[in-house]
Amino acid sequence: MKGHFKSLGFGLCLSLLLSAPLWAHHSFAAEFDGSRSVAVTGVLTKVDWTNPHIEFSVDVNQDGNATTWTCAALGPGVLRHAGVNRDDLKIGEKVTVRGYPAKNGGNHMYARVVEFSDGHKIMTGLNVTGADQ
Amino acid sequence: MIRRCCELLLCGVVLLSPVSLGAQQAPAQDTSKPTPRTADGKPDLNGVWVAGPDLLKAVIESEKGANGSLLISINPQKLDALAGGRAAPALPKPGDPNYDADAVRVAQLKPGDPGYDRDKVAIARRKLAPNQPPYKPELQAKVKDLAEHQTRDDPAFYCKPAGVPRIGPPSQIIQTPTAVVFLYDSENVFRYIPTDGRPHRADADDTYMGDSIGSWDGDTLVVDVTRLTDDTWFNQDGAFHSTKTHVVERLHREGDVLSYQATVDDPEVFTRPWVMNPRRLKPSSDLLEEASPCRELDESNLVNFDRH
Repeated sequence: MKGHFKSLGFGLCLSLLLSAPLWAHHSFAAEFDGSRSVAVTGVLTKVDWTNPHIEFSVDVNQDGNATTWTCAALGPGVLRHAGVNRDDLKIGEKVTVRGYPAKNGGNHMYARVVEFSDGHKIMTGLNVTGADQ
Repeated sequence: MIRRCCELLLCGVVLLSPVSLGAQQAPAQDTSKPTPRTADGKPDLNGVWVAGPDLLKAVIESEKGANGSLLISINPQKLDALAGGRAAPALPKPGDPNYDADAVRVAQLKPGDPGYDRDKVAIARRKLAPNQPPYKPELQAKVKDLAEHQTRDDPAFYCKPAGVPRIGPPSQIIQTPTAVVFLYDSENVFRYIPTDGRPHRADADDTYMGDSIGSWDGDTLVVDVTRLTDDTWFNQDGAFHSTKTHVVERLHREGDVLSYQATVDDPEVFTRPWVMNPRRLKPSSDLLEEASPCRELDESNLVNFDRH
């Protein structure tokens, strides 16, 4: 249905335009570094299709050690409006996720785009810096 | 105001701006239509009501690429059109009660200016906006402190309901001769509001949506709300309150325009009742839908108090 009151999630602030309530969200800048980029390759292991933004997990083999990256993105309302559905992120798929790293240095990022092994890409976040990655 | 899509992208989503927007107001001519009435002669408030254009449809665009790729972007022209429909409020001048030299300086920064930060500009503009909640002087420092720590302290950041009055007007109204029901698609909450003359419940607990009773003042539905929990803010800028909060909402339909106004009093924190900025809504044929579940996943990753 409509998106009048749906969360837009991380990376999109329309507060100057909105008079309607949305799921509140912490500031992007309090969590992510929009001036740096990060990319990880691994297997999708979990998808939380939740407000105020979705989050998915990718198991990454780093230097022989398995680590889990958590990837925050836009909200479910804006993603569905844009044509991205939960089924587009299938558990078990091998993906490369590109985005902006967490400022705390942890295995956490703002996921801008998910690249699949057949070459297709799904954007899950917006371009924060204005520069293409 | 906002000129480029990339200027939008550094902050997450906030709760409502208390400012009513020209671009989102229902057209004035919609008030000239006859006001539909129910069988008992009251204005018919039934239906889904929206504040204005669907922002997602208005500014978010997606483009299918090779191999089924999907690219999402913001259309800056449409965004500019929306922003341009809003008259920028005048900034206070020296001597005005809410004048703050530093905030005025920041509020006037434009993209490209030294020190420009879109989030800080937005915060400064909200600070300087007219019609601030009238806090007692001894509590203003607390409001300021809460605002500065909003990214960690705002209850709404933890998937708690915004509550009355922050949640704003209902998304859908169901009206009967003896009660109205307010539904909200943002948070899967509802309010059952008797209009049969009964008083407030004596045994009501404090809740996010409070205990409401309704009555008709001529053609205006008046909803009186008490027993609100203090686990909410009135806005994103630290507007805390007590459980003594008392809200009176007035809903008036004229043609296809529903006007909504909330007056908030809290003798524990305010010096006088606060009449919030009115909202104008228009009917929608959309169906209400349950929102996706909400989960707070970010607090452990916050490294500073940046806010938007």
